[in-house]
Amino acid sequence: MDNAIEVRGLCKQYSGFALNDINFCVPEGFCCGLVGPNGAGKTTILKAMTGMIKADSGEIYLLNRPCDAPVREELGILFDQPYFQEDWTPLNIERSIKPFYRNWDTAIYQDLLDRFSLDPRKKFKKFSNGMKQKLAMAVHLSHKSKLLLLDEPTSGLDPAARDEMLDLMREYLLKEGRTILFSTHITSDLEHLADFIVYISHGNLIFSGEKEEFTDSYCIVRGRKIPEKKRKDAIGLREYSSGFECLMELSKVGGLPKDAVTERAAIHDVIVFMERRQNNASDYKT
Amino acid sequence: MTICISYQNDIPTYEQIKMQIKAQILSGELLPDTPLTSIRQLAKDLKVSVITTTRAYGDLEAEGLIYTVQGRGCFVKGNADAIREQYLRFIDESLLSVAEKGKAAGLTLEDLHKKLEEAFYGQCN
Repeated sequence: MDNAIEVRGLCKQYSGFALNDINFCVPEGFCCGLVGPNGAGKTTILKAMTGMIKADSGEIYLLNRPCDAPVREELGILFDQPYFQEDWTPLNIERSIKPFYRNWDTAIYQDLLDRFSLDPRKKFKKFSNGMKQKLAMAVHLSHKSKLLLLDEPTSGLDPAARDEMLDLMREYLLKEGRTILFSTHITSDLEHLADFIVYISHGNLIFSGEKEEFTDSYCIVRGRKIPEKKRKDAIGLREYSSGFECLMELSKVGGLPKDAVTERAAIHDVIVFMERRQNNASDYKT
Repeated sequence: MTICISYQNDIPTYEQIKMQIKAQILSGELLPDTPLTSIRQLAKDLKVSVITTTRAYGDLEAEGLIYTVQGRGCFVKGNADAIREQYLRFIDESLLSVAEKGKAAGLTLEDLHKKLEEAFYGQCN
């Protein structure tokens, strides 16, 4: 299987924030979610991938090539707010963008405007957030891109608009050989769409791999009292007067008291506990 | 082909898809050479990842229930009867062994009935 995205040893230093040695790849034809708390470095990674910032070191290959002009023609890039001129109408947008793409298909664009009920003569600024996102997606679907890089495509959308956005992404993936990388902190977006997960925290890569592997390797443990010898295996341990709660690697649950309960961890749980561990370690010890 | 999955089920999604297609093939509801919904379309329809549906179809193919034609998709294989026979034989053998072990453990026929019922409805502890 070919990789649509390969990121190797990506580093970028800012004052007060650093992206450290990020490595991951996404095979062609799949959807990968980029997750992590605010300020983890998700947008920095996407910016480095699209050439909007220059990385200090590391290699990035998109569709098997370094990110140069011919590759960009096959990319669809969407940062949290579409970047079109406020006074442009969808028709103006087409006129100004079309010359940059050899594969631009006017028929597809018009079909999509129709389908999304986007008035071709309405000014961009008059559209709602959801409509703006759909318009941006329509643009990327019309130049037959092979790789979508989306920065929080669902943030700021109401539940119905979010579902429509996710459906559009699924529709994009219907054709073989198309790949999506999208950042989000809405974990339910991942549950029903992503094949792979890249999890970044404080500029470090915590996990990259199949989504199932991410959740299957952990479980939530709750009990009355945690044995001292199990303390080191507890991730994001929270102790309260009547008991304790933590995340644990599945391979380490042996030796827990009989009355402790274990249950499956969802993506959401893994991230919450992992972040709690990070904060516990840096702030205070209980 | 009809599929109805529960996202809150403990059975993994790919397993649910696999089991339901399998049941429809073995019962004859899906006839030999019927085309199955494509992997990507099914992922979109059920709102699951492509890996999930790929895995379900991969397992079905490995069990000899479906076949893939490059570029055209997956189809039901014509040997459902043979596989069903094989299942029935396996059930007979398993039941014999269950009856034997049940007797040895001092269970009544009623106890065994109850156990089977539990297993059938997935409430086994």
